Amino acid sequence: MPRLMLNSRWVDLPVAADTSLLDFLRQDRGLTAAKPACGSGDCSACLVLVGEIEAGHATPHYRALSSCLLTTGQVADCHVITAEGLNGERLTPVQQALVDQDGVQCGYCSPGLVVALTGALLNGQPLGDAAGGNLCRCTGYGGIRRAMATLHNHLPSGPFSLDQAADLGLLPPTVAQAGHALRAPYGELLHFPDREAVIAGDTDWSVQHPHRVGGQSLLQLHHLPGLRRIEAAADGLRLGAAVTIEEFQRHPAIAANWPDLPHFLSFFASPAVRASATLGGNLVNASPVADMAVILLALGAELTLAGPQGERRLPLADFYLGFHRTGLHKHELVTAIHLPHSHNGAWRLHAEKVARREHDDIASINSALLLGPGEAGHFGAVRLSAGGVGPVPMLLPKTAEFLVGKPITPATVRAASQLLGSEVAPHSGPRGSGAYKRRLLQHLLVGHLTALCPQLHFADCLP
Amino acid sequence: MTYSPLALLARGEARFTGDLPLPPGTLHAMVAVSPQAHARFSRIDHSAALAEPGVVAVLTAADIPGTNDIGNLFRGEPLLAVEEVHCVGEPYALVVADSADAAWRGARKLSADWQPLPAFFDVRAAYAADQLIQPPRTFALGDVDAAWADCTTIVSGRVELGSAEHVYMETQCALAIPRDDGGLKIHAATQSPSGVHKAVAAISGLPMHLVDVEVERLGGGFGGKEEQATPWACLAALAALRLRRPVRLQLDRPDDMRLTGKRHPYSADYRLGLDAQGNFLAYEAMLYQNAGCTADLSTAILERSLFHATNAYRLPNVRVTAASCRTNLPSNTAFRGFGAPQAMFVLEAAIRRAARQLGIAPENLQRQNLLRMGDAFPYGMTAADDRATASWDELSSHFDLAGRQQAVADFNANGSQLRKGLAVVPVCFGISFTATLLNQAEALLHVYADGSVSITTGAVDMGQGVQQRIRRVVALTLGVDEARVHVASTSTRSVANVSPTAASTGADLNGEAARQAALRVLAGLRPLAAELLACPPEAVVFADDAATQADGRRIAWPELIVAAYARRLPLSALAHYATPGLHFDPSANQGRPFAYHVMGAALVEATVDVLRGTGRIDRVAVVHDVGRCLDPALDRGQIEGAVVQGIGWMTCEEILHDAQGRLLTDTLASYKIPDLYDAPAIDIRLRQDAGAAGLLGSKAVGEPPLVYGLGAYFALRAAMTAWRPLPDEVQQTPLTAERIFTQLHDL
Ligand SMILES: Cc1cc2nc3c(=O)[nH]c(=O)nc-3n(C[C@H](O)[C@H](O)[C@H](O)COP(=O)(O)OP(=O)(O)OC[C@H]3O[C@@H](n4cnc5c(N)ncnc54)[C@H](O)[C@@H]3O)c2cc1C
Ligand code: FES
Ligand code: FES
Repeated sequence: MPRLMLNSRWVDLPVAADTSLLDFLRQDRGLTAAKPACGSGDCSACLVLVGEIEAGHATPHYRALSSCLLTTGQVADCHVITAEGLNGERLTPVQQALVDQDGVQCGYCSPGLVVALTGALLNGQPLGDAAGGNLCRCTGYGGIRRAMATLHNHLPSGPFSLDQAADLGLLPPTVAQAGHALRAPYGELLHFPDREAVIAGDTDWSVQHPHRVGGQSLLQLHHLPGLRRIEAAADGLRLGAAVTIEEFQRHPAIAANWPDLPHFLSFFASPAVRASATLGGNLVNASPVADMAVILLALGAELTLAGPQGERRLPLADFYLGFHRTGLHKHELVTAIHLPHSHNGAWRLHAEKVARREHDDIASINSALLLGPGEAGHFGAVRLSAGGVGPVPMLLPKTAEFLVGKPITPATVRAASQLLGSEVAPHSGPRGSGAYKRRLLQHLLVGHLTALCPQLHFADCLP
Repeated sequence: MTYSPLALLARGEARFTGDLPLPPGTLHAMVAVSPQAHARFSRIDHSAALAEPGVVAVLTAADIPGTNDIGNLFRGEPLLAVEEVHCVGEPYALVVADSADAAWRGARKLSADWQPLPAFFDVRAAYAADQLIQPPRTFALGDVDAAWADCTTIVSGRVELGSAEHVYMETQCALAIPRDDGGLKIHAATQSPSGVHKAVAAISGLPMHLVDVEVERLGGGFGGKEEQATPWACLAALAALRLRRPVRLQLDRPDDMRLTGKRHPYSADYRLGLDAQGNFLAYEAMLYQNAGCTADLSTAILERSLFHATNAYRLPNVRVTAASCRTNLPSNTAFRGFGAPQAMFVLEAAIRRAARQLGIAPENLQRQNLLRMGDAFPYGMTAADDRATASWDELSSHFDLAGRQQAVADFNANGSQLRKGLAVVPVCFGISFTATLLNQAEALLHVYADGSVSITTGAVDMGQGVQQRIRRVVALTLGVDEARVHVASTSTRSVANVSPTAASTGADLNGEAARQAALRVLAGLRPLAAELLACPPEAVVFADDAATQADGRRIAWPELIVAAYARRLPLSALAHYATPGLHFDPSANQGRPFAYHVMGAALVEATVDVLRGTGRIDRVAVVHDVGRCLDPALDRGQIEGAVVQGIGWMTCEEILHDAQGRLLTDTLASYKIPDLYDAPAIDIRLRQDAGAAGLLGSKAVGEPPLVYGLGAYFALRAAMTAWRPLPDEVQQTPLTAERIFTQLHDL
């Protein structure tokens, strides 16, 4: 029987491993602090802390995740702390700060907020960013900001072990104690059992399967440590396909190679989604505006695909066949992503994303440009990618090739953006008209080039 | 250990309707809805739905024992459609199952034969085809036709105001439990317990005394649970009555967004005339309100648009006509501001067009034309004082308007890809239900033998803190410690025929009723206290948790209560309150519809990124009139929340439908409300003044500050025009990234 450490006790999980964790908590366990406010990962009202022992560690690591985007199978053998699990007799410092600073009005968003802030304190992360995905419709965020400032000023800074957190009153000792009972549960084995579905971070699969009947067998990639490692290789980095966006974002090798990339990724979804969503999921999902796909295309990533028939390697650019279609064979998995390195910063990346809302929104369009070393005053090698302007995330080789070797002048940029306008034919949709997306992409090219070549002034470069 | 309501919420232990433990055997319901915007239908096919595992029953209009009508202002709003549907998402059948998921799946398997009919989505097309909820109404003052001749500047233009989704974080939810006597107990997430009460009784064919409605608390309402919580409670009630089992119905977010009404989009034409000194002489506007497919509250909302069409400005000659137009969208409904912000936007747009034509800063024109004491409103009231100019001037001096204007100009001269702009928006908002009959409330107060106090009113707490205000008022009135007072959840068993918690009147009306109830109990206690303290009754003071007299002798509250009980004195009171002096004659559009006006002004600053076409609101400064402030934290919280909601409506929140009237923005992934990063820093100065007509001299604060959010639009536009002049004959909201970009770059 699969089980779960729920707050301070082991409990049995439902037989159907694809049961929604939020439903399980609310319906089966009567734990209603996590709220079903959107069901699609967009509001963080349903956050819980999920602790697991990761490969190479002795103590669990806790992440605040949306329980509406988790299946019970994903949290088997994990420690789930719900908002009510944090309660002791006195209010926790987080609860107290929210109450004192008027961060609570209707209170529907409050439990999720308490979980987000508690998770950030545990992990020693900045509070403001940690609550970036918590929507509140009542307060206008004023009281929430004041509460975060109070916590920032009055609590020592983490990271904290669960025991330290219990000493600070962030959670009860019994819950801290329960964390010690976790064991590293997973083996290294990757085999290819005949499952009805594969899930990794589950931020997309759950959204695609609302109100499901349940009972499908799932292969949980997240449970395979081999898919969760970032390793240095001779020609660059090898990223396991189940590495999360957040792990990628925080890995020192990423900032070392592409200094602006971690900040750019803070515009990817919300903290809870970034902590769960995987690189592989973002690629296989094949959304035309997938942010990671657009970045990895510009970086010239390659994939390792593995199936019962063995492994093969494929440039990411050849992976996409059509709208939500990839070259993945039946039973095949993406196991790794290979990134060339930046040659000590000689290759530089710039990424752009424009959405209706700056943070936590799917792009109207996004784009990335990789610029190699060139002769003085001239563009070096260029790789340009974009999402939202075609059926799949794509490279734009014509414009890229045009730029190579050209003098770095406004005239070159204007000509390139002219060409770019003819290289794409975006469709109109809820995220913008075709004409808007085409012209915006031209502007984002200007954005790339003015960012990478400070001698250019944007106003001279506009198409 | 007991916790305050806020602490309970922070602990996640406070129960919302959907969190209530379900009685054994509870079923779940979900509606099957029209896929057509306008159609006749026949032959509902139940078979596929009934075959879905877990589905227990399918109910249609024929199963309704009472009347199939939940209309409030107007009759003819069926709970379940019969023969004809008028929007995509109109319920025509109810699927009941043993799980919410099964009900949802079953509902999607139901089908019918649809014969499509012509549908209207465009409000002006509906108007042209005479699709009106009621004949257009006109509010007028002075002689607008004659005044044009005296104008040296006349501007005209058009405005298209977008809709908005409430996004109360708790979706619509109700639980209906059959009672042993054939009646029903309803737990509903509604702002209008009595609205639900009446409608459930009507559809059930039960007398109201066999139906109890209880409302614990709401996870946000903003007007979206005033009328539109009613159908879900009625549907749960219908299933509970038919199947004799408890039934819960909670919409998931996409269904909530698709099936319920939103803020009314408006289209408008305006004309504004000024004399050579820049004084407003004449204003004329035609407002087209997109009501959606039924009346709902549209006509009342339209009326408030008319009341507030001149906002905080002096306009001696006015004629504003407004038409509520029927279209084939889900029926639009109350949303914080109740039609006032739409009308106010039109005038703000007109003022900016005039300022541009005259080549002067809009703020100069605005300041010059603010209401002065004695200026007439078009509906028979006059401005009682000079608070409009006083709040503007306080904003201007305290937040250094001139300095900010200069800073913006300096920034824009530096040639980066960013441009800044600012806007000031004043507000003058009338407080009271404009339907005079709703300005009444009831409160039931018990003092228990241990001295603890329980108060029940019709006020539903949805985060606006009304229960905290009532608690404070009762504690202040009785002179007891706040901890002694518990505000009970609203129940139609305790208080009857209550008005919805709306129109920002929740605290004014219910707080006053609660105060009256407390006074009534005190009146009974006073002679006893006088006797025990050996002083004349007038000399007894109830304060500091005791009855005291001048020489300091006191009797503690609990002892007094014990003594009162022993003397067989009444320790409970039911009080009723009706706001005095209100009247309005809708045939002449004259009267005294409001107890008082709330005034204030806000300065909004914005930045646009010219290259990417993105905008952000940098900062908001507010001076707002609160009368005698009972709770500064609550007032500030209401202002902050309202401002950000207004900003969202003006910027990132966009409702899109396809050509068939299907909602495209039906998730929080596609409909974006402001998040932590979007919300600007908001500096607030509460203007206190004595003698307001509200509760203990305080003023209502729920809705008026939403109007400040309009400044987001005008500040962004100002930033855009700092890049290059833009046409302004047509102003359209929301100002999304796409609109900013296309306007800046002429697409
Ligand atoms: C609220 C929210 C915000 C979002 N914001 C963004 C955003 O800003 N930018 C963006 O690009 N995307 C965004 N997304 C989309 C999506 O969640 C991400 O693209 C995410 O990276 C998907 O990864 P996952 O691991 O969660 O995928 P899952 O849901 O686990 O899987 C998605 C699909 O890919 C398959 N799959 C996953 N991994 C593999 C593998 N290794 N091999 C083979 N098949 C695999 C699964 O079978 C499934 O069909 C958002 C989603 C949500 C819910
Ligand atoms: S319910 Fe909104 S994120 Fe889960
Ligand atoms: S307090 Fe109501 S949603 Fe945040």
